[in-house]
Amino acid sequence: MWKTTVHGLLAHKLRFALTALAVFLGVAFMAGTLVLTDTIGKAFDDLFASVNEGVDAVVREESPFDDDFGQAIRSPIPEQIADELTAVDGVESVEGNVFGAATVIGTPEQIAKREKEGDDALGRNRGAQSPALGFNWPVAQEVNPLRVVAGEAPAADDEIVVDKATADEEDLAVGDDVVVTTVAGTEAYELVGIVTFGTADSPGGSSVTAWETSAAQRALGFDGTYLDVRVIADDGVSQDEVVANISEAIEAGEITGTANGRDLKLEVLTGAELTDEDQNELADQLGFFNTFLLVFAGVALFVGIFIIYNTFSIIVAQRTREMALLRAIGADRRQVLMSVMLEALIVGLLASALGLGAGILLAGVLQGALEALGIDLPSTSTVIGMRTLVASMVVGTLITVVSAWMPARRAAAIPPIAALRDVSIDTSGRSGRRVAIGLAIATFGALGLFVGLFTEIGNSILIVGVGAVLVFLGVIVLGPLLALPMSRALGAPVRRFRGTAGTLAQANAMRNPKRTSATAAALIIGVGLVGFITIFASSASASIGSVIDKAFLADFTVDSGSFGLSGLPPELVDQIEELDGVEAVSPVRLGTAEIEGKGAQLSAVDPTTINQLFDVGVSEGAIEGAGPTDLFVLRDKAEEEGWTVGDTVTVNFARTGEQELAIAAIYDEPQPAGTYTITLEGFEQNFDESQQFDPQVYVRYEEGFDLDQAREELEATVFAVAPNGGGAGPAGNQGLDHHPDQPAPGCGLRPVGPGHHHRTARNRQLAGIVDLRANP
Amino acid sequence: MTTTAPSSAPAPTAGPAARGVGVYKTYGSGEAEVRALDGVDVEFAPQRFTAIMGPSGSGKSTLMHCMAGLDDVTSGTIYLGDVDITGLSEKKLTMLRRDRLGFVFQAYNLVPTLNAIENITLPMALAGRDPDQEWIDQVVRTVGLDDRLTHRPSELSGGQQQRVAVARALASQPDLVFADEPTGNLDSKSGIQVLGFLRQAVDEFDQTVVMVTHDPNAAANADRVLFLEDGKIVDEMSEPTGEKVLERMKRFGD
Repeated sequence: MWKTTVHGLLAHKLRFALTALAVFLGVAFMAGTLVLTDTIGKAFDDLFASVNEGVDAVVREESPFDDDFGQAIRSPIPEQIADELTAVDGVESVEGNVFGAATVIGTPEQIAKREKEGDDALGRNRGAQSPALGFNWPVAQEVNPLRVVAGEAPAADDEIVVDKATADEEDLAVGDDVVVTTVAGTEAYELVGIVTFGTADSPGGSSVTAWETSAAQRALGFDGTYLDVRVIADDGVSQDEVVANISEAIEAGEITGTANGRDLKLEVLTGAELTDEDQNELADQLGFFNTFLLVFAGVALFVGIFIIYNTFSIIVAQRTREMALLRAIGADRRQVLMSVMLEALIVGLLASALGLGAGILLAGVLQGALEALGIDLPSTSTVIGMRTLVASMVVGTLITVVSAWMPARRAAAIPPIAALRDVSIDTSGRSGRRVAIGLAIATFGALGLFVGLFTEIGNSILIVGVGAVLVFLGVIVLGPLLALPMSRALGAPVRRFRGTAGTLAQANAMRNPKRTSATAAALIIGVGLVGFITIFASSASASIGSVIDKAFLADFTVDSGSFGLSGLPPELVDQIEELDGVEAVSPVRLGTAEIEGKGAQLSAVDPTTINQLFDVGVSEGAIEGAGPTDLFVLRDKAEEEGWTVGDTVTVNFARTGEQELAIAAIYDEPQPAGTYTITLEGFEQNFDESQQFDPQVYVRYEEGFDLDQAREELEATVFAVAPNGGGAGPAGNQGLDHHPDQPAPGCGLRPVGPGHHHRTARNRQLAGIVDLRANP
Repeated sequence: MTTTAPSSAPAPTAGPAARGVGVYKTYGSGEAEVRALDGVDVEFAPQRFTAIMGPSGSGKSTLMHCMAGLDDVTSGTIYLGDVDITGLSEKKLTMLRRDRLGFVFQAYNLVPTLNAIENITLPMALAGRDPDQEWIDQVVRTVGLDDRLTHRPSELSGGQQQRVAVARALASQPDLVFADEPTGNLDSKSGIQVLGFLRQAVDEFDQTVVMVTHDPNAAANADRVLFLEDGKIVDEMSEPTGEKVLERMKRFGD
């Protein structure tokens, strides 16, 4: 039997290949995903381990709350804590650590050249595609993730080093003057060195600028403070010992810190814990990426089930006489069953093995694609984990074998007499039972869809997903019954116009409804998927588009174009205000605070001008005239919480702790301000200096002012303050966006669908880049 | 269960190799009922070559299928040797066919992906037994396939394929070989060869052969011819010749 199977396979290479292809593709995708994420994970694990290698302990504020991404929010700690730490037993030395946004703009010559070349050159650099990071340069090299590869370390206030990737890309050399924008403003520094991050040219594609520590504190907005303090222990003192000593000192009150009149609650952790934390944070992010890709692999394999089922059904039908002959000369049912299953097993194993190989190659290709997108990964060898091997082989083989099970059962049921007769047996199933089962599954699925979409019971995404799959399965079960009337209806015109050929085609489609519907099933999935992706993409862009059009009354948006991490220095707003013809200007500043026990994003605007720049649809209270202790809330949220104007809400800021804010206004439009908005003054009081930057600035000119002239002047101003156009946008996108055709106030408002609130600085920025266009 | 290891043919003193008693076989029901076998009593003597003849639809193939346990009977009893096979399970019937019967069909006798010798020894392979090599060699020599053993069926002529089928039917030294129109698809020369081998099997190797045919010249190779009409045995003939069989056949009204 083994022999017939193997010979059979070898004799039908094409059939074999087609069956294997379905499994091969699914497994390749799955293996590729696993290898890629393992490799990326390993690369960063190694990187974090190596950059934190010299750190024995870290002291920082214990995070009072997480933001809506689950990232810990914490305040800087006063720098005297570093001095206090040096007195602790077992501490050899300490390093204050600061970190912030710093965008490398280029040399003054480059900037002048760009300016001459016009609008388009206003901004385009690495900072546009990925975060632009600023670091301090520690004295103790054990705790420094950066390695000098050319020039030297920064020592003076006006010296910087940048990462090798940025230096290469922006054509910067040691000795150049380089302009960098930070929260403190835009300034030129002398480039004294080129560095790598661990072994990588840049950390995950981000640009890096580093200063000597006190210069970094100034540039990054850490006046007299550090983000945290890193401790190097004496030789022979373990991480646990030094952490224990520091904890004791904190408890004894020998190390304390106050910030903004508040006692800070400090925490201390070992270097190993810090590495774990970094690694886990990354693992969470990779986990999402991983799941996303694995869903595609899963869909490929799901489609594969139908293809394999269908192929094996056809194989069995074609080999009816062979099976019957085998039965006649003495093969029992089990042997026939096993021969088909064996074939499936061989196909499954081989296809999985090939898929695994292809997946490993695919991972390399994907990694290359990431690098082409500017996401350099730290160098490491490709990681092929046991999990990848086992999962790929088991899943691929199992799917093949399970899919072949039904056809194999059918093969085993072929009576030996079939060898002697020209039989074609169509057992089209008991229709009554099929209808009942199919309808039951489909109904249950439809119920799930309804519950998930229109009610608030349970995890709606999960319920919708399960519902969709059930409806699909129901349709598959009902398929053979639908195939007959549908073939009849669809075939009728064919029959009419194509004569005998049409008649035969229709008759063939109707002859074996099961076969027809199984073939259709693979197509149903395919078309369904294309539909899903298309709808998903178009509704995503529609929700962004509709949101952008409606609320803006401004003429121009100055967009930092970078991730929420960096932005335009606040001085820009003041300078724009001074320009001729400017009627109103306001930035939108972003931060995170804890409201009702959850990290929430807050926007800050200038309450005196905001009504001229956006129509957010204030339906209760007023924004104008509000002060630093006022809060504005989106109507949806206010209704959910039962808040009205005049109510007090407790907001926990990382910097200032719990503050009582009064609701001054309730607004209807979630764009551009989001769920919670405060005044700029309130933001300045409650957020750290390092967060005082503007992702976007909105400008409105007086009626009738020449907007071309306005644009020119605005550009010049932006350029002077932030020569990259404020962190720059991607190629083709200017830092400046024009909103002509200013509408009468209150016009152009369209309702917004629920669930489209911008949630994060990142989303907001991207939305701004994509669609900040003409105002309707 | 009398699974016989291939041994010498049954002693001549034993009873019939197969026997049917009061065999009825009907297809369909009610108006559409077709009575394929209508009370057949039949015995096949061991080491004899029996031909079953009859016009189309007379039930000759059905009789063979029922005797071979490929099809069940509506009533009556079938014995292979002294085993009543009418009540046997599917599994036992399969083993019986494998160990005690040989089959030659009109067409599609061979597994297309196996070569000649693999096809010949397939019943033993299915049973998980080693073939009796001496016997296989003898059979292969007799049917003249020595130089074709590693060829696939697609590389063999129709006559050669049918010779492989005969060799396979004989390979396990069965109690009984059933041949269903074995020459139906062959040219006359190949047909004569194949019939010659079946004859040889009976005469030289003491095999028992039952053959269904509608060709009088084929039937002439048998020791005895049974004539079927409308599901009943209506006549039989010993020491047949082509002319005598043809004469008898002509008497069936059609």
